[in-house]
Amino acid sequence: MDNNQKQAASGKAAADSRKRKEAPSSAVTGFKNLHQQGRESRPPARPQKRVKFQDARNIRSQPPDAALDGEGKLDLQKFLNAREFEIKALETSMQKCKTANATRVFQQVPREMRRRTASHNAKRVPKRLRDRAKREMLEDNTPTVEARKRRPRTTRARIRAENAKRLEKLAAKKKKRALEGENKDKPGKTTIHTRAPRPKIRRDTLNEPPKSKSKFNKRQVNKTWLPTHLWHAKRATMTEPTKPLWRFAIPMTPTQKSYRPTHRASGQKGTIFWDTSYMSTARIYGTARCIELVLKALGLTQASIWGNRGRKWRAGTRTWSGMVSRQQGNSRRDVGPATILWNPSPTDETAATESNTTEEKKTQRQVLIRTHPSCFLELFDELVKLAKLQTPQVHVEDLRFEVGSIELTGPGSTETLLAVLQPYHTEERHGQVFSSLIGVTNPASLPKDAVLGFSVKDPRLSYPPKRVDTTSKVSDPALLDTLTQWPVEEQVKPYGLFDRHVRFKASNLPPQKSINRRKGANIPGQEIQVTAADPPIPVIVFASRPAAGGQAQGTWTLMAPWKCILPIWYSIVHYPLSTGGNPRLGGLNEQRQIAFEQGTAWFPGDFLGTNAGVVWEMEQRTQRKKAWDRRPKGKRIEWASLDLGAGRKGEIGDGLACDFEHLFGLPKVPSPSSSSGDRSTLDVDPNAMDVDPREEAEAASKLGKPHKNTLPSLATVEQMKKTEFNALVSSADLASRPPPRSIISVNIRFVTRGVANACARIYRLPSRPSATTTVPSSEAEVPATDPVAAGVGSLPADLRDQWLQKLPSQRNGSKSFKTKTHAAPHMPRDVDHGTRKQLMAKSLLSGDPLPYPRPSAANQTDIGGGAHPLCPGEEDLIGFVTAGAYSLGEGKGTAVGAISAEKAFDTLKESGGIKEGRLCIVRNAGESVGWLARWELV
Amino acid sequence: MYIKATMETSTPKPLPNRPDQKMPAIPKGSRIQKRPLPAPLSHRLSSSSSSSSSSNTCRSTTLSSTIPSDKDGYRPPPRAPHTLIIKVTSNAPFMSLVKRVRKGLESPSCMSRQQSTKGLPLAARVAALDTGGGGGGGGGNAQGEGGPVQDALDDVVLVATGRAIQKAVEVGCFFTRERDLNVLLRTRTVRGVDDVVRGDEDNDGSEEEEGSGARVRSVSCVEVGVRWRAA
Repeated sequence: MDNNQKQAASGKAAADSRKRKEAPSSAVTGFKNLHQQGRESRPPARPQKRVKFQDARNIRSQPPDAALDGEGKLDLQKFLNAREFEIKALETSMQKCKTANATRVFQQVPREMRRRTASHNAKRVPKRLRDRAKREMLEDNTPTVEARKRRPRTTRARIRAENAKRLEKLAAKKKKRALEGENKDKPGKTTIHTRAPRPKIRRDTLNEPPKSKSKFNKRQVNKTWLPTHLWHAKRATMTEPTKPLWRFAIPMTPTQKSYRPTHRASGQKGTIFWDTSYMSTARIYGTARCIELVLKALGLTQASIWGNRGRKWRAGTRTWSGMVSRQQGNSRRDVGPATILWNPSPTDETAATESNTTEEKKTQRQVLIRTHPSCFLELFDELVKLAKLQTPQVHVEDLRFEVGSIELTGPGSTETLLAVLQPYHTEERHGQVFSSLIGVTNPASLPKDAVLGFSVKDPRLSYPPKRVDTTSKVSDPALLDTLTQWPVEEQVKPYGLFDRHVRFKASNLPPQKSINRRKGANIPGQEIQVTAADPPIPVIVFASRPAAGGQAQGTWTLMAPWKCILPIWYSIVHYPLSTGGNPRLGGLNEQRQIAFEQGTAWFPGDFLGTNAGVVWEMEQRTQRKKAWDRRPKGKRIEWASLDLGAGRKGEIGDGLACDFEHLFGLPKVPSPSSSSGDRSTLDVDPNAMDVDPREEAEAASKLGKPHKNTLPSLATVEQMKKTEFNALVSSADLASRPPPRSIISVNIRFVTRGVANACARIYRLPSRPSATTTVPSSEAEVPATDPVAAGVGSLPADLRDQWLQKLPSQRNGSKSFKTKTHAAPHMPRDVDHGTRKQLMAKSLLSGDPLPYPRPSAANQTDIGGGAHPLCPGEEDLIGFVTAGAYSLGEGKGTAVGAISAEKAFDTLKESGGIKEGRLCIVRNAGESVGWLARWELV
Repeated sequence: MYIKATMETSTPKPLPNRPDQKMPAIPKGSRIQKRPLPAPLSHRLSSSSSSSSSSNTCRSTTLSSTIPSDKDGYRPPPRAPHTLIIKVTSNAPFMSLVKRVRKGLESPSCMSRQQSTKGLPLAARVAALDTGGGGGGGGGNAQGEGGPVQDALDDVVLVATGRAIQKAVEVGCFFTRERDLNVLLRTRTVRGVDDVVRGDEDNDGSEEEEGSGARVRSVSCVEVGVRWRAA
C-alpha cells in the first residue's frame, strides 16, 4: 500500500515534469531543422545543449491510474505493462545520458599532452580535434579573452601598458633611423669582427652568475635560472619567485601527478631525469702533492685511496663520492657529499710515471669537485683556505655557471643517453666504450664509480633522437667483456671539460636558425653532417651506484658546459624509449622520493649533522609552523593536550620539529613562532650560494649579527659514520663510546603496520625494570616540576614484553594463520548438492567457536583500553624521523631518520641481541599510538 | 606445461653448471660483491624483420642469425613487440603476479594480435601495412601468413632467477588451468657480473681493490611464457 502510494506520487511528479519539458523538446527539433538549414541561422547553442541533457536525464513513467480499470480495481496486465514501460524508459535514459556528451574534446587528449587553457583556446588542442573544440566552445558559450587585447585593470598594469606603447614607438623610430643610416653609408662600410667575450673566471674567488638576457633580468635579481628554466616553468612547480632555493629557481615537482609514475620510472620501466645544473662545481689545480694534501684535509684520509688501490681514481677513470669534512676545533664536521674527479694527466708514458713517484707528485694536476649548492659556500671557503696554505700554492676556480649537469635514472637511462650523446671523434676510446653500452639496463651494472670523458656532437644535428636499435646490435659476450674489463685506462687524454677554451668553444654552438636552414637543405629524414661550424661538446659521464646496493637502479650523471645543457635537454625529453613513452621529468621532490624508496638519506634534508642540513631543518620548521598557524584552532593539533597515556600529557619537545635540541638538552633557538616569516633570525643564510660573500657580510652586519659564525644550537650535533659506529659496537673495549650529541642516520621499516611522517618520534624499547629500581624509586627521582616525567611511574612494568609480543613470531604466526585459513575442509570437486550441504553443515558445527571476548586486534588503538602497548617514556626517546611515508617499493611504511648514537649504542650493548636492540617504536608527532619498527644504519 | 630441452646436444659440451674448469678462487680477504643482474636479452621481433621474410625457412634463418644464443647454446625464441616481461622477485605476492599476467594478456595490443607499428621506421610501417592489412581488416584471430609466427610468440613472459624460480613456476602452473592459454617453461642461463672486492674493516668493503677485477658468473634463470592458444 505504502509502496503504491509512493509510486503514484513519483509517477505524478514525473508526469508533471514531462509536461513541463514538452515545450523545449519541440524546440529541439526546431533547432535541428534550423541547424540543417545553415550555420548562419544557428540559434544560441547553450539552451540547445541544456535541453539535450535534460531530455536525456528525464525518465518517463506512467501515472498509476493507468493501471486501474474503470472500478478502481488493479488490472494486473496494465500494471505490468506500465512497469515495463518505466524500466525501458530508465534504460533508454541511461543510454542517452551516456551518449549526451558532457565532456569536452580537449579531455580526449592524453593528460600529459594537454596544454594550459585548452578549454578556452581551440588552438591548444591537436589539429584533428580543433573543429570540434571550436564548436563546443560555441555551444558552451565559453568566454574567450585575448590577454594581449585585454584592457588593463590595475594602475600598475595601465602604467605598464602605456610604457609598452611608448617603447614601441621609440623602437620604431630607432629602426627607421638605423635603416636610413644604413642606406647612407652602405658603400664604404667596414665592420670589425671581434670574438665573443670569454666568461671571466677568477681564481680563488666566487664567480658571477651568467649575464641573463636583459628581457629576463628583473626576474633573476636574487636568483639564477637553470639553463632549462623556461622549459621547466611551463611544466613544473618551481620554487616561489621570492623564495629561491640555494639562489636558484629549482623545479620542485612536475605539475602532473607523478608519485607512482616516478616510482615506476625509477625502477621498472622508463627513465626519470633532472636538470641538476644547480649542483656546484669547483676546479682545483696545482701540483699533485699539494692537491693530495688539500684533499686529505677535506677528510679523504683513507689509506686505500692514496695507495695502490686508488690508482684508477688518481688516473681519472673513477670518481670518488662521499662526505667531505672540515676541521672545527678538535673535531671534524661534515660539510656535505661531494664527487671528486681527477683530470687524467696529458703524459702518455704511464709506466714511467709509475716508477717515478716523486716525478708524478710534481706534475701539474687538476681535480673537479662537484657538490651540493647548499654546502658549496662552506666547502669553497674551506678549499680556498686550504689552498692558500700549500706551497707551491694550489688554486681554486669556481665553475658553478660554467659546468651544468643532467642526471638520469631508471632502466631506460642508458638507452636515452646513448641516443642523445653521439661521440664526435670515432677514435676516442671513452666514446667507443660508451657506445658499446647498448643493452645495459642499469647504470649500477657498470664498474663502481666509472667515468667516461669524451666529446659529443651537437644533439640538435640528429634531432629528433632516434630509438637505439637494441635488437640487432646487442651481443651479450661483448657487453659482458666491456663491463668486466672496462678498457678505459689506456691512452686516456685529459678531459675537455676541464679546459676553459674547449668549454668556451662548445658554448658557441651555431644558432637554431642555422641548424634549421641546414636541415631544410637536406633530404627529409637525413641527419645533418657535422661541419667545422659545429664544435665538439666536451662531456663527462659517470655512473653511480645507489647507496642501498642490491638490484636498485643507479644514476647517470652527465656533465657538460652550461650553455650546452639546453640542446642536450631537448633531445633527452623527446627520446622515444624502447619500452614506450618518453623519459619523465623529475623535480627535487622526486629526487627525495627515490632516495627514500631506496632507503638512503637525501642531502640536505636527512643530514642533520651538517650545516646545510640544519639550515634545511630550520626552514622546514618555519614552514610547518606557518602551515600550523594557518589552520583554524579547532582543526590543528594542540600539542599541550596530547594524551600519551599513563598520565602523560603534551608532546615531547616541539611537535613541528625534529627536536634534537630537546633530546640533547641544547639551548633552544628562538622558537619559530617568533621568527616565522623572518628568516634573518637564522644565523646561517639559507641562500648560501651568494654571488659575493662580501655582500652577504654587509647584509649581515646591517642586521646586527656576526657573519656566519654563529649557528643555531642544533649545529653542534655531529653526524657519525656508519662504519665508525659499527666498529664501536663490535669492539670489546668498554671505555670507547660514541661522542655525546652525535647522531647516526637510520632507515626504518615498520614491522607490521604504521606509516611515519616527518618529525615522528623514535623510541627504543623500554628496558625491563631491574629488581632494585621499582616503581617507588622512580617516583622518588621525579622532580616535581616536570609534569611529563611524573607519569612515567605509572607505565606498566612489563611494557617491553608487551611490545615484544607485538612482534609477529615467524614460526608460530605463519602456522596458526595456515591452520585458521584451512580450517574449513576443502570441498571435493565432484560431489552432488546434497553432500555439499552436509559437508557445509558439518564444517560449521564442528569448527571451534570464536572466542567470546574478541582478542585485541592491532588496530584497536584505544590506549585506555590497554589493547595496544603504551608509548615508552621520554627517557627512551632516541631520535626523529626526517622523511617518512608509505613506500611503494616495500609495500609498507618506511622512514629515514636520525637517532642519537649514544643511546643506540647503549641499546645495542644492553639488550643483548642485536636483533632486539634494533627494534624501535615510532610515533607520529601529535599522535598517541606508536608502532613497532626496525632500524638499519644507512 | 611443456618443458623444452635447453640443449641441442649434438656434441657433448660441458654443461654451464658443471664446467670443466672452475673459476679460480678469489684472493684471501676479498669477497664478492654482486652487480645487478642484466635482464635476459629480449629480442623483440620487429615487424620489419618478420614481414620482410616471406617464406618460413627464410624467416628461421634470419631469426637465428640475429638472436644470439645463451652460453649453453640455447637460442631463445624471439619476442613479439607487445610482449610484457615481468621480472619476478622472491617476495612478490602470488596474486599480484597473476593479476599482472592477466593484465598483460588482456591488453589491447595482445588481444588484437596486431603489431603496433608505433615508433618503427617508415619503411617498416609501410611493410606492416602491406602484409597485415588484410588480416587486420578482417578482425578476429584469423590472420594471414603472419599467423603462425604471431602465435608462436609469448604474450607475457615471467623471468625469474634464484629463489624466485619457484614462484615463477607456481604462477605458470596456475595458468595451465586456463583452457585457452598455452604455458611454456624455458630454462636459460643469465650471466651476471661480480666485483671482487677487498673486504676492509674501515671501509665497509666499498673500495675496489687495485689488482682485483670483475668476473662473470652464470645464473640459472627460468622463463615462463604465457600466450593465447591459437584459435
